Amino acid sequence: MHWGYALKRFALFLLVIWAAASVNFFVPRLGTGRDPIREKLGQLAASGGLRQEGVEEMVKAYQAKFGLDKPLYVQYFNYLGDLLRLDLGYSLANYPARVGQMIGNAMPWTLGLLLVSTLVSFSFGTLAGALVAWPRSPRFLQGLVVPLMTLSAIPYYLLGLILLYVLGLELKLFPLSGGYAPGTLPGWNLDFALEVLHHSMLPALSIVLAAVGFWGLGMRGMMVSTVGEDYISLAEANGLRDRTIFLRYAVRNAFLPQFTALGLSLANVVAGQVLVEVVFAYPGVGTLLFQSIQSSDYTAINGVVFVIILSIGLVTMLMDFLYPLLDPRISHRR
Amino acid sequence: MERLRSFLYYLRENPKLGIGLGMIAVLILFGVVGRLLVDPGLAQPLSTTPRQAPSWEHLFGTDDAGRDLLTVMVVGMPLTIRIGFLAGGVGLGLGILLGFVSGYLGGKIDTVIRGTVDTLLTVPSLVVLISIASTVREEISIELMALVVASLSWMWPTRTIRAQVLTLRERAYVQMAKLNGMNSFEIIWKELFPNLLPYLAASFVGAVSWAILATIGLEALGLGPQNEPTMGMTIYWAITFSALIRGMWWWWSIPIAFLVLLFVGLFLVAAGLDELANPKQRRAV
Amino acid sequence: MASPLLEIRDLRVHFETRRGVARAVNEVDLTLYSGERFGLVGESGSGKTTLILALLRMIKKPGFIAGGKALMEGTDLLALDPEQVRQTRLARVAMIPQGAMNSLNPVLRIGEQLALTMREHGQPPGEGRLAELLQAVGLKPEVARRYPHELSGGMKQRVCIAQAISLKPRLILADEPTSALDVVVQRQIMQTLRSLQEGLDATVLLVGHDMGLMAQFAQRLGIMYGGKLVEVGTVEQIFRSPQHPYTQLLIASIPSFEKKGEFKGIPGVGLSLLNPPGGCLFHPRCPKALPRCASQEPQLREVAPQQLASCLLHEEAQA
Repeated sequence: MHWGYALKRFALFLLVIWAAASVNFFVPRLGTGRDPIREKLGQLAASGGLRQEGVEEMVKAYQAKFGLDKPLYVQYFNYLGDLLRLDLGYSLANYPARVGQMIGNAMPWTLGLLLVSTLVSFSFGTLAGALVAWPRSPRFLQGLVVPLMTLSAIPYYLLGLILLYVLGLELKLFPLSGGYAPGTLPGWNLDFALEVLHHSMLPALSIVLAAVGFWGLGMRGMMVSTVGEDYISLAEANGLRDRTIFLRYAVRNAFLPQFTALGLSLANVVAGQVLVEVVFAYPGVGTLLFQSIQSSDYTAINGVVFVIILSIGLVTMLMDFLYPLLDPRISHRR
Repeated sequence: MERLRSFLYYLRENPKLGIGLGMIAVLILFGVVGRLLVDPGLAQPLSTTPRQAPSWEHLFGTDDAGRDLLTVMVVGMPLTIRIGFLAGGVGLGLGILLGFVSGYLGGKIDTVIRGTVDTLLTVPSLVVLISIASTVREEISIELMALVVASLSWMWPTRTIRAQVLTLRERAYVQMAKLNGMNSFEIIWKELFPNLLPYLAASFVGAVSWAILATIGLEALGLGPQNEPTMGMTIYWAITFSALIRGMWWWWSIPIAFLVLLFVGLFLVAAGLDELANPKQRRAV
Repeated sequence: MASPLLEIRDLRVHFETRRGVARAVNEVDLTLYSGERFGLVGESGSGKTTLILALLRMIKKPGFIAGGKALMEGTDLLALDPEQVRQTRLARVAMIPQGAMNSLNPVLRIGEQLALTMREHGQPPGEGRLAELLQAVGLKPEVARRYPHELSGGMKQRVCIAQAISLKPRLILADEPTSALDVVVQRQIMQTLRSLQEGLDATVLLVGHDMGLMAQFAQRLGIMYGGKLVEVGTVEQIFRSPQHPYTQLLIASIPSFEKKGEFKGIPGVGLSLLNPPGGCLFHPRCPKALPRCASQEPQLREVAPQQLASCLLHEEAQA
């Protein structure tokens, strides 16, 4: 892969991050010219209380960078500078906690859930979709189409609520919330791991059930067009085994656009997961965001949104770099 | 009359489209007919006895604040659908404009538009919406919500429409039209547009679906219009007041049931339109 | 005198549509001899491609083989079970496809595809076999490491030929293998195919509608019309003394440098397989049609040594 392309792609990545950060900065200040953070700080300062000292520190630090006396562009550059150093500031609601730290605590939970549920639903869905579209696969698979379709129409979080009620409350099979039972001490032992697993089942199940249908239908569509291609019929005329043609000729080729679709849908997948986390009070980034919204913790909100955009941008860029490995026709060479 | 009959005939061949349209029609009818039968005032808090399970007097029960849920559904469903159509429509409008321009004119304009769209797609719109909505919270109205949602819903339509325009552009009848001296606008309007109608319809349904999804998502987080009994807000109140645990199953399950109907209906319509546009796929499973 | 390799008897392939049954291949009898180059000629829809698909058992719904036998070295190709069919393909009966543009798997290297195909038949290529195959079709051994999109149309077609001969089949079915290529490349490929065929002593059934190509490549010709075989003979016989009116019109329509005259086509409209005319299928367009032709179907009979034609004119003459 040519360095020219890599640089261009990286530059694009930076551009997106910069644009997102700027939107985050300017939109709240538009029109009314208010700065919600400053207002909130003002409220905190006025309300006094045990954390008065800390608040004063915070207010002073904030004033230094974003004070009203500073012109807008100076504030803006301070803001960008902070972001470059990944300094996301203090949490307004949970002072003296730093936003970066809060996100750091929540990230592993979100990543774990995301990786597992996406991996499972993508693999199962893709395979199921491919099998459904293959003319020579067993009949009963065709019956999967309707249930798959229905499930894919329902948004993750609605499905989550339904599952929460049926499996959690009624059947009492799974816990209702959290990442682990309150009072348990986290640690690297089997008991804790099992607890985590037990608590992640429902959120994971909601995502998997809803997403499997989506991936399945997508792959089915790709397979249908692939199956009509000349190289498939020549492969058959050359006496290749059905399974070989299915895997190495059909699926292998239909997978390419499916992979691209994964990259493009990543944003939606993350958004969906955020809401699922809220439903299950799962201690990930989604719940953090929700709580920040509730407590008007603007620094945290901005921080979380920024980190999410950053991560997705990174992953999409990586997928872009990986693509030529899958498709020899694309080589990013200029 | 002839057209109506052939349309109904077609629906028999394309059950997805038929069932989907049917479901949506039922939901809209529910709102319209319901409006005539109930007093919308009952959808406001403190209008009747709270915490009632469904009974003959309150078919869908009442919530914690004393709203009659049947009324809430009758009032809220059309509201939600309206937001969806509004946001979806705006999104589609932008999508059509940009998609056609990008696909038909090509060149630098195409590169710029396509680059912007692809890049924006990697940004989780919902998350950005959350960020924006959370700072504009107090003043949000239905129309503002729709606008906010629409602002990030035009990317997919642009992409799909552009792809279709690209394939159609090279077809023979476009070349013929050019040879006959039609200018670009005429070609777009008279030749491309009619052939793209199924795709446009499918894109519209997709955009509406996404818009409703995003709206309900935002509302369920508490970021919607606080005083309107939309579906999403109802779910938000239900979750906040722990309706699940308190056994008030009617409060959350009924809105969800309606929403599931709505989404599945929209989905079937989209799938049906897809089939209409791609007859080749009909013969497959 | 060469021995028969493939004896097709009463082959019938029908397509069931809502508007009726189309007889794409209609009671065809044909014998192919070992080591010969046979050309099967006809318009679109004459059934020539359907015939070779039937031999390979690749007819898909709504088409089906309605009857007949295809005996090759003791086995009836039409009676084999699916696994036997799979093993016969390529190893005994190989196909060279019409459009090579998209006939190769885009994500596998050429060498991998050739090797994979051979392995699936239990005959993995030995050391240097792939290079040997590629060179035999006129390609450099380095091509094995390339991907299909890096090759030209002609090169891809040569790869398809290499694949077809890789297991030394007895019968090669070529479906208009050069129609998508330019004339110069066409000639080279046909020459390559010919020398390969002679080297293997295999039989080639070349399907097409380019009479000029047939004249240069084939030894014997078969003419098909409306699913039926209407004439069979050596190339000289067909070109010099065609016995069936359709063949005569075909030959006459070939532009020639020697005879000047009007460009002749074949009058009338193409026939509909769903609504075939009674009696002889060609009679509505035939300039020599007799009243009988509308009701009586002619049989394929020998009208000259080794030349067969299906026309009532000859039955009358012989009567």
